[in-house]
Amino acid sequence: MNRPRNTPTSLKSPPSVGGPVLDAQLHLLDRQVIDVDGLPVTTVDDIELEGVEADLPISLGARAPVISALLTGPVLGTRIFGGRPPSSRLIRLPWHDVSAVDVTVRLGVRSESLSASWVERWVRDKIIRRIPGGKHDPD
Amino acid sequence: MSAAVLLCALSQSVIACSAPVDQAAASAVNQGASAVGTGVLSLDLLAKERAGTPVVETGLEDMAEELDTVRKEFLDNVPATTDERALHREVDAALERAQGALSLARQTLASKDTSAGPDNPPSLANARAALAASAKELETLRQRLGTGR
Amino acid sequence: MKRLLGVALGILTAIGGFVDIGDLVTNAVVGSRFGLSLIWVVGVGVVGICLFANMSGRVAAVSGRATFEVIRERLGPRAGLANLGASFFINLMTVTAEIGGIALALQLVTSIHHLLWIPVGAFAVWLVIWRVRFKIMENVAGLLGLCLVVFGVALFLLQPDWGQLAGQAMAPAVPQTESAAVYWFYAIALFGAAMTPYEVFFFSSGAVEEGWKVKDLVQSRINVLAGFPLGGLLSVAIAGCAAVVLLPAGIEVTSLSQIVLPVAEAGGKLALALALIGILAATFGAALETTLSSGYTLAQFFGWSWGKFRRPVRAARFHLSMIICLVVAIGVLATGADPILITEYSVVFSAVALPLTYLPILIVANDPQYMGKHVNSRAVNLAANVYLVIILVASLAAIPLLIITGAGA
Repeated sequence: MNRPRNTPTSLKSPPSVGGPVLDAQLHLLDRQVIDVDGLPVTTVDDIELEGVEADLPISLGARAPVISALLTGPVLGTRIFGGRPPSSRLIRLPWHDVSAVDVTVRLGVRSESLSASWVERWVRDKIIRRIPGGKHDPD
Repeated sequence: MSAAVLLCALSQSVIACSAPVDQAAASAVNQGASAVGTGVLSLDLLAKERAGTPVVETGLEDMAEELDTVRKEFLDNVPATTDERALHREVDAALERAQGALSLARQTLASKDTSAGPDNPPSLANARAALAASAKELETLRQRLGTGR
Repeated sequence: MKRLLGVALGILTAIGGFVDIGDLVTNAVVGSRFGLSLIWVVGVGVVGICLFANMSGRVAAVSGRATFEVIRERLGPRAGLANLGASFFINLMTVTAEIGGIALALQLVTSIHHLLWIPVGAFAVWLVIWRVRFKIMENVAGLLGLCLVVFGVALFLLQPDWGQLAGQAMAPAVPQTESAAVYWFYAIALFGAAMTPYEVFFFSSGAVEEGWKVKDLVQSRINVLAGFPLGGLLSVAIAGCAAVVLLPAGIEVTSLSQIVLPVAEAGGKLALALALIGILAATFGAALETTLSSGYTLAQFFGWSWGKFRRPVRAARFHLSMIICLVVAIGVLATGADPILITEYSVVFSAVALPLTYLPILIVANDPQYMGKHVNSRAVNLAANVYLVIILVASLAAIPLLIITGAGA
């Protein structure tokens, strides 16, 4: 998440909202993402915001930015080492797929359909499925 | 990660080369005595039928390997004075005798495994006696030199 | 009745599962060089691992989150990744040591050189992880590991001078043949062997594998509080045997073959056979646990699907990462590196890395958002903070002592 570098000198108290308040840093980032069947998909590596420009000061009274997607994959590297990945390389979990946020982030869809799980699918189909016994429950 | 590997290598090399001759001698004698002592104990257990051949055989092999390493590392030390040279020769000779005793024990065990060749197989009792003599020699040296720690 | 059986089984597997190659080697080395004068460290380590396992099991049962998920959430990606790197590396070192231990034990049984047993052992470990159910795997390895009780029996059969042994244990002193630095180096090694971090990854992930709920906490607490101290007694017996037979003979343990000699001396071939089965089961069980732990830590950090309760195809990257770890372990051992030496380093580095996992668990165990009303009690926190200091001191002192003493040589 690229935080704006120019913070306003004085902060107004946040507007009151209906419903619970989520702190993106605390309650979304680095949380486990689980699909509708309870299968872990990934961890939230970063968040994509819409309605805010990076590196530009936010003018007072502007519309609040909206979370458009949870990001995963190589973007984790940029949170550790800095920099910004090209937008085409981002792996997105669209926000409208999210069904609940508690200790984990729950999706309302199956991971099978998500681009976020392509590595898992590749490893499964190219390697694990081909080893005898990989498709069965353990005895 | 690589730091840890480096550290392993570093501490190993510290062991190998920093010690002066008398300390290196003491430590080599200490390790040699331990190896030969293990050999004596193993053969005793075999004779009393308290341990099977695989355990004894493996034990002797481990100890032979250890003695080889100990002697090789000890020979890396170069004595400077006359006293050091005498000590160096004495300890090296003792280690060599220990190697001889251990390999005699191993041969005996191996020939027992393959039901003895025609030419008078060495007996376990002889091997044990050789090991015990070497153990006594190294023990005397150890009393004199300490453990080098 | 069934419940009672469950409790008994849990305790027995905890005893049998406590000892691994690290405990085996370190205790025998220490016994053969220091007698029982370092045995107090085993006590300190056992109390520590009880505390630690208890906390991480509680976190897993209450929040359903295993150790490394929590570590990443709490520390963020940067510190979390550094933590993962260190913990994973040390765990991989332990995997290597355990597989080497299996091979050495098989050599003692067959006299076939251990290098030939390494691929066999690693393949068997993989096969069990691939095909055998978690519960069965745990119980079989743990129960067979109980054969190590023969070390305790052997100690009695040897009819040692109990007064002298008690004297060494109660009034610890550095023996004349050893230096103080070496004494403290081995103190840290013993501490690291008793409190290896993988036990905690494994314990908390196992709680998720077995689907523990809050109501299972009592059972888990009994397993830990009864099983680990009794397992610690096994460690003491191993050290005791070495102290009684090997120390007076001037034998310093450098190989697995020396560790079993006192048992043969005391109980003959039958006792020896039991000891070998016990060692094989203990190292095999620990190889399973450490290999799984390497998969658990990676999968939990990156959010992959994991767990033996899923079919391998439902946790593909988890299984692939474990296969890679086993291949790396085979590769390291194939260079001819001495498994005993790897073991000795792995227990010391375990002590170095301990704060990395201990501290986040301690923090989360106090966080009501995860734990609700099951946060640490005041008494547990007091003990946990005392141990935090001990763990930090051991961690900071380990590497300087390693260098000063040349790894205890």
